[in-house]
Amino acid sequence: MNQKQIYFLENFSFRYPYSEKAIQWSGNISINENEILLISGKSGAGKSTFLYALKGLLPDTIFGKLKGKILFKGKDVSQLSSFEKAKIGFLFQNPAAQMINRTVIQEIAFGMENLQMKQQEIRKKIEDFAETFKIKHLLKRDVTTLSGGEKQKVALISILAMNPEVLLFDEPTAFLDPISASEFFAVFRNIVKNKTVVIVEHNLDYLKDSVSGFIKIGANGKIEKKDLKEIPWTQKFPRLPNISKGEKLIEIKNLSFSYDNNHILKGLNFELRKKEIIGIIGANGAGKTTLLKLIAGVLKSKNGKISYKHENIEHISFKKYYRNLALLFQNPENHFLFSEVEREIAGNRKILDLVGLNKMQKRNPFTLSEGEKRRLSLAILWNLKREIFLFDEPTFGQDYENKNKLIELIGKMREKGNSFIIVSHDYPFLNSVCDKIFLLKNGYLRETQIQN
Amino acid sequence: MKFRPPQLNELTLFFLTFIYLVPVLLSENILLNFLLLILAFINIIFFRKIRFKHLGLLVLFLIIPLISLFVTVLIYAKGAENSPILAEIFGFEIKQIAFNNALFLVSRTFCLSMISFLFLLSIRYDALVFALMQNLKLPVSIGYSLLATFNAFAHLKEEFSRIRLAYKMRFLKKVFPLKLLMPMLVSASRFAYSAGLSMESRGLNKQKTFLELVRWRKSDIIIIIANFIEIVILVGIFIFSGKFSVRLV
Repeated sequence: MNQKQIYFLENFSFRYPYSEKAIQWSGNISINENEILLISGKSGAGKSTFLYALKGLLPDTIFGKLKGKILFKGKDVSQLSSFEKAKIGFLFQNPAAQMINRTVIQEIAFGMENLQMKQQEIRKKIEDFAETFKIKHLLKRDVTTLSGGEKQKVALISILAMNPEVLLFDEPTAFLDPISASEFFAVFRNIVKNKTVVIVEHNLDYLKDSVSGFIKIGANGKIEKKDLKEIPWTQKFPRLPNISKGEKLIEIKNLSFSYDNNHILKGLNFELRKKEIIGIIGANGAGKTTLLKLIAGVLKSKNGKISYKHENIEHISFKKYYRNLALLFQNPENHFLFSEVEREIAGNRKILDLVGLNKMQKRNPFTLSEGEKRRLSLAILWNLKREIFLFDEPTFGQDYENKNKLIELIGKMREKGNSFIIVSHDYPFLNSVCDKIFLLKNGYLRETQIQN
Repeated sequence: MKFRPPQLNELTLFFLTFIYLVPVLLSENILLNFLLLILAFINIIFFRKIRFKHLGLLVLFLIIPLISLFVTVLIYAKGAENSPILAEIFGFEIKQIAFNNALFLVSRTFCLSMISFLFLLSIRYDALVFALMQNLKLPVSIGYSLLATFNAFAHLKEEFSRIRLAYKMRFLKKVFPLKLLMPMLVSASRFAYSAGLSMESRGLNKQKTFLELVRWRKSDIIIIIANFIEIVILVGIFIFSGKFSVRLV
């Protein structure tokens, strides 16, 4: 049976202003009806830009030099009317940044209102979707109070409610914990029937049974259609060797914490030794970041005790404590304060060599690729010569290769005597670097088995 | 049976703010200003729940500027040379005119601020933006950008606390707030970029419909007219009793 062609791209290339590299495709590529296409490539290769091109956002909404043709059902995609564009649904990476309205119900209605649907029709559709996706209790909630998983679900529903023919997904699970991600893909399998889907995703395991085509974007920006056999379904990381641990640095005894009578942490106990790496995994909103903030002294608990080298951290001054401890945020840009890479690390070029950024000294930190930004943020902390590092989602936005580099760096830092507490959704990553992994669930910590 | 106030169009509260602010701005009478403040307060209590905690905090922030204003006028008031001396503190003579002027300015600033705060804390910002889009033809691109901006505050608040901690962790001693500007600007622009793309990709256009229609009800018009008449009567009483004079500058 001949499948209907949805997209047709001919000798397409796009270059951002001031960028040396273009995303290009020499030849023709077509995307057919009901095809589920996986896009793969390194961080910064242009995967999101490719999706923007399919949505028709180039070059008018996102400026740059566009060459070649991108046709949607035979029509130039950039010339589509807003109604025609609505046939192409787009789910972005960051669910928080795509929320426009104050309440969930307004947010879901937004796309349908733009399609000039009548109030009754909108209400009926919202009711149906709320029933199917079990979000009735969320409809009147303020969007800023939702968890990451809930936000992504709402964003997905708001797009599905517009009944698009094509769905473009840009790393939809990047902000989700493993449970929310698997829930997302359970929904995904149901909704992609009779739809054309183009998805950028690092969690390939979930897509094994669904994908029917594969496009790879190379480091030079070249787009190529590849065989399904070439998809690296399972990504394994090397395990850091076991080394002997030193003295006790951090000790947590019977630690509890609650926000507005909501008990998030309930009597936690664990310790961190010199050269030890501890991982903490848990669902969105389980309290992982709260625990990290408590250890960092940003939050204070009324119950329990956190001590550093046998001294209660509440009795240690901020200056003294932070001479020994540093916190790495999920967003590496939070660490950047200067306009040049070398100023960020106070001219210490040795550190730049170690993190592989020796050729970037004069670059503006905000213009680096995601992997480079992460390594620079790590270099900034390393340069502070602290003993303990607290990492919040260090692999966020990182591809397989960058994660490998990160593992290597953490190994090097540990050899120099550093200890780590790493909070992450990325179980394979934690499994490769950590000596112990704890699962934070319902306020309790439980040690899980490390898999070799 | 429990009393339920009529549902209001947010624009009604928005207009009431100005109806109360204008006479306070023009009046020279302290008593009239406070009476207008009390009337505004009664209106808000009738239609909305007052967030006393927030209001209290704002008043707390007002105290220092008000004291400064009082002292400044007391010291620098013009034309006070021939005025009788009211009191003497540490050798400094407090003149009657300077004292009256200081008291008037402080009371007027207090009443203006309180009326603004009262309405500001009671207006539901999202409903106001919807009312502006539907009733006053505010372009939807501006209206939804405003709504997205309100959402951005929660995001930027978190970003700010992280950036500040990252800065403190490095023990940098240079000008503190300026250094935080760049990462905050980058973060804000990234948020704006994503929100813009989200609006565009979901087909925002002028001809859109709205799930909730915001209408002008009879009750809105009655409330505005009633308040207007109330204020006119109050000002009228002061004019006829010779206690109202207008100060335009």
